[in-house]
Amino acid sequence: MSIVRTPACLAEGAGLLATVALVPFISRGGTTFMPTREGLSLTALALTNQQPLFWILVVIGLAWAAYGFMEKERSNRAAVWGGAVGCFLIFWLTWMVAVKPYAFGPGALLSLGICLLILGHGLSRSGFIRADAFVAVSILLAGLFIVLFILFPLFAILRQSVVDDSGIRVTLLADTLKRYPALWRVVGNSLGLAVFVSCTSTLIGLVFALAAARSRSRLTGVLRAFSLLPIITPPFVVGMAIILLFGLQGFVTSQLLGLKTRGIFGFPGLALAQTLSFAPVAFLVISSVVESINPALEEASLTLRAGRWLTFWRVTLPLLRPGVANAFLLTIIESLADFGNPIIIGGEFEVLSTEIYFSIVGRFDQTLAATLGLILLAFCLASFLLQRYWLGERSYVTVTGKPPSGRPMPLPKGLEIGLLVFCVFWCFFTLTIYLSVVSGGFVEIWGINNTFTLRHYVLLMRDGMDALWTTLILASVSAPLTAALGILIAYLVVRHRFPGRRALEFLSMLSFAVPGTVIGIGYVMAFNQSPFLLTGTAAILVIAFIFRNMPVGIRSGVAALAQIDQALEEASVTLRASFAMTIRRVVLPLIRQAIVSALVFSFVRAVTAISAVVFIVSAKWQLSTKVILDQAENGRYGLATAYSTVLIVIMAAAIALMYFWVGRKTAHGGLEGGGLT
Amino acid sequence: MRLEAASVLIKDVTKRFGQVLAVDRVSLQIEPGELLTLLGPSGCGKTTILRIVAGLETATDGRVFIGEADVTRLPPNARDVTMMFQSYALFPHLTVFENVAYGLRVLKRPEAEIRRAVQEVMELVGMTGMEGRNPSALSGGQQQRVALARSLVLNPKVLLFDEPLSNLDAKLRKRMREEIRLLQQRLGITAIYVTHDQAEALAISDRIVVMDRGRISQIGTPLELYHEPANRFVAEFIGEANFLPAAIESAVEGWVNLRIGPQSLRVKSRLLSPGPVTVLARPETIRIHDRGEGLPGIVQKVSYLGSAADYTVETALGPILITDYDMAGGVLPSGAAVRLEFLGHGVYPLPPE
Repeated sequence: MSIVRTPACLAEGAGLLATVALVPFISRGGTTFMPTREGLSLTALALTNQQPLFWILVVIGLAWAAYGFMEKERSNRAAVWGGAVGCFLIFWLTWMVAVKPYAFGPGALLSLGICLLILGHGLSRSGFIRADAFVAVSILLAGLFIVLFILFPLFAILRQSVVDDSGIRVTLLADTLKRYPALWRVVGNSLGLAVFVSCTSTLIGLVFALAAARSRSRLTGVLRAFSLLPIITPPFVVGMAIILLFGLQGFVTSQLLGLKTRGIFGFPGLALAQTLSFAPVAFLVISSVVESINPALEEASLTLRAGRWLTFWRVTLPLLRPGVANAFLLTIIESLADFGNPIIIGGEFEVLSTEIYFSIVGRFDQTLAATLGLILLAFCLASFLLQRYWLGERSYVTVTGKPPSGRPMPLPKGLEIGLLVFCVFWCFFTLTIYLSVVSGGFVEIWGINNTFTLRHYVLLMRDGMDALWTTLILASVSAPLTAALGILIAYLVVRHRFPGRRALEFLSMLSFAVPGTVIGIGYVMAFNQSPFLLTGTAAILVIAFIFRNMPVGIRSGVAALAQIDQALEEASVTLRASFAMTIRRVVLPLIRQAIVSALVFSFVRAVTAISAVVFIVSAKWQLSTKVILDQAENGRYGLATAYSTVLIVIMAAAIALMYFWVGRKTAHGGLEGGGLT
Repeated sequence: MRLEAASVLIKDVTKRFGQVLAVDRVSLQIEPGELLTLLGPSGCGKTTILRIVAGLETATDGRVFIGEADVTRLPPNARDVTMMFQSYALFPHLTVFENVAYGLRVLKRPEAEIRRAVQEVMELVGMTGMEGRNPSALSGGQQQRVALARSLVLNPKVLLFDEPLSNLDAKLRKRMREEIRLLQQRLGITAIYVTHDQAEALAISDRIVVMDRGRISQIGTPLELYHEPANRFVAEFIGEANFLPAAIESAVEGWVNLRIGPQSLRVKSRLLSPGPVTVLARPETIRIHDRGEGLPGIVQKVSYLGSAADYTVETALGPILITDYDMAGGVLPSGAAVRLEFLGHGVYPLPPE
């Protein structure tokens, strides 16, 4: 086949021609991925009479296919220009042609993809991106996805909040807020709750971290296991359990204490629920800092005449300050973004995330929702930026050093006992929470009729299986995609230098700082209309899962890549392997563990998602968390807890599988700062 | 095994990392079959140049030619060079056989050919029988050989070495460098070797390039660099050096009459004008006596090395290092009064800076 110098060029050129001729370019009446029958004829070729510029696509396709027969050197500049023109053209053309209800069709997406490939070839050959075509294309695709599915929804929110019938009006923001009298109360509530819960969670996390790392008792293993529980728990399970224990018919309030009170609803219950949920996150963050303290520092203090108490106060605790600050800022974001708990147990205590929900669902006021979303986003972003830049972690591409050798100093005896007692108490309390959730599914009506029954489970089997299957299937589909995209981005950012690397890194981690509610309304506003019509499809759910959970894959990938000597990849490349081959033969086998943990955690987070998806589920595609929420809102706690128990069991099984398969160290590595909603 | 050695031409190559100028307009021509060493302290740019030849870095300016071909913009896997890494970079998840066969598999050679080539090259490096082992089960020296085998099996035009022996202990280092040199000469393959160990460079190179802060200080054979350094930096970097004040009294046709301390010497030199000059005197070329008419001095420090004794002697010309391999008079104690005698062939007047 020596006539064809570059088979790839030929294939891509031919592909572009085929797409232009055969695949529907725009989608009239259907959604982006599924055009309607009539829409099948709307190929780019067919549209050339309306828009003659479409012929340029044909020219590009022919030219590129022709390059397949020519010397390699010639095609560089042309490729860059051709690819760039092609991409730009597709966007512009579709925008022009796409008047509501038209939207991007599969043809547009496919041709866009091929033009990106062409552009990637050109960029890599001309030395602009110092790597081969595979890396260049990956960078372009990753960039495209991030712009499309992270930036575009945020932009849509912004647009919704400053654009009204008369056009762009920045003062619309102020007007919207003036119409909303509860603003300061809601903002105050959200912030106050966040700070309070951060303090309590961080404190508990610190206690647990110290006890787990430094105590000599054998309870430490148990403590670690407890740290995982809330990760696999759907977000409002804790809220429900607190209602079951302390609510009107609560076990503690009603049975034990004989009180009939709704006092737990509102701030007390919410604070308790959030603390229970987020303390483990704080624990994981602080515990990795505790374990990395160089024992030599404490030993030096001891040899300088300080006792164990003094050493603890003056050396150990100050060294933990960055970890504590980190945990604090992370839990602020978690609390602000939390949706499940406030909905269930918030009562009259309004917070931003629930108010956004009610703006859409109750008031049908998208502008208000967008404006509140911006405020919430601003707070979360501020906290995120503080944590990233002020605390000094400029880039997560800092190599995690080896843990120092030597045994750490044990805690002062009194402190150790105190910590352990508290930990045992807290674990006991957590256990009670989960027991009540489990038992809630087995009683008729909690508190009023405590007879054992399987009625709820029967009902679940009959009516709830659809949503469960949907959830599991969509989560299983999105998990590999999430892990793949996350690890690909981690690889690009860690191992390659190219213009825009920092931006790519920052934006891909951004979705971790954006609260789920904001992403949810963003997706509604962005994809409810042309040019991308995705609402009501499974695709939008899968995409939401992918981009919500991508930071999990990225973190896993970065940590794993940091452990691998870069010389291995360089050796592979000097042994004639391309970058793609190197990834397949050298990198992937060595980061297998990270891949597995990324897969499992993406799956778990997808199953327990609620705040992002509560807006984008549809009649055809229902998720379990939404069903549970509906049941709980209607007071049908039996069904809700039964359903929750089933979910918990499934996810516990997934994590247990991963633990046995992959080992403990990597398991914990995937959890840090994962976000729970 | 047929090998086609190629020349390497590095033409006006510059490399910038942000603000840092790592390589500053370096030009080098490496002959086919030659082992050229890039020698210098950390940060001098030697590794950067090696990586530019490999394709792992792209030059900011300048061009690289391997044989006749301009490879400046080619990615590493398109060049016909292989590299031996400081950390060996053996793939931990593959056996020794698979490691060595890696490149051949990438090139999709037939199975029988792969097996034959691997066997041949394993014999060459003396590792027959180890094919089934895992790299982690090998010693440092054995890993080194496997890495070498892996690089050789592809018949590269140029072989690159990035400080391959730094992770080995001293005795093993000596043995391995000799083996590498023997193999390179036997196969006649062009090699570029990077090291900061000047003894290693002197021992194995056809030519050495001494680099300092991104620029070439001197290129020459080991003999030239040791005995006729172009400047103070090279003189100090290679071997031990004493820089002593002396005076040229007269110069005739490639020889000068030099006065150093109380001694008059006739020394071969291309310097012509009389006047003060700094001379390089290597420690092993200065004789130490406990009596006589040489330069007087007092012994400050003594180190007994078994094969020699190192002295630091305080004199009117400053502190002088002497290495005495003879030790005819035993090892002199600290504080002893001595007389130093310079040998004509050991004194080298440095060119003015």
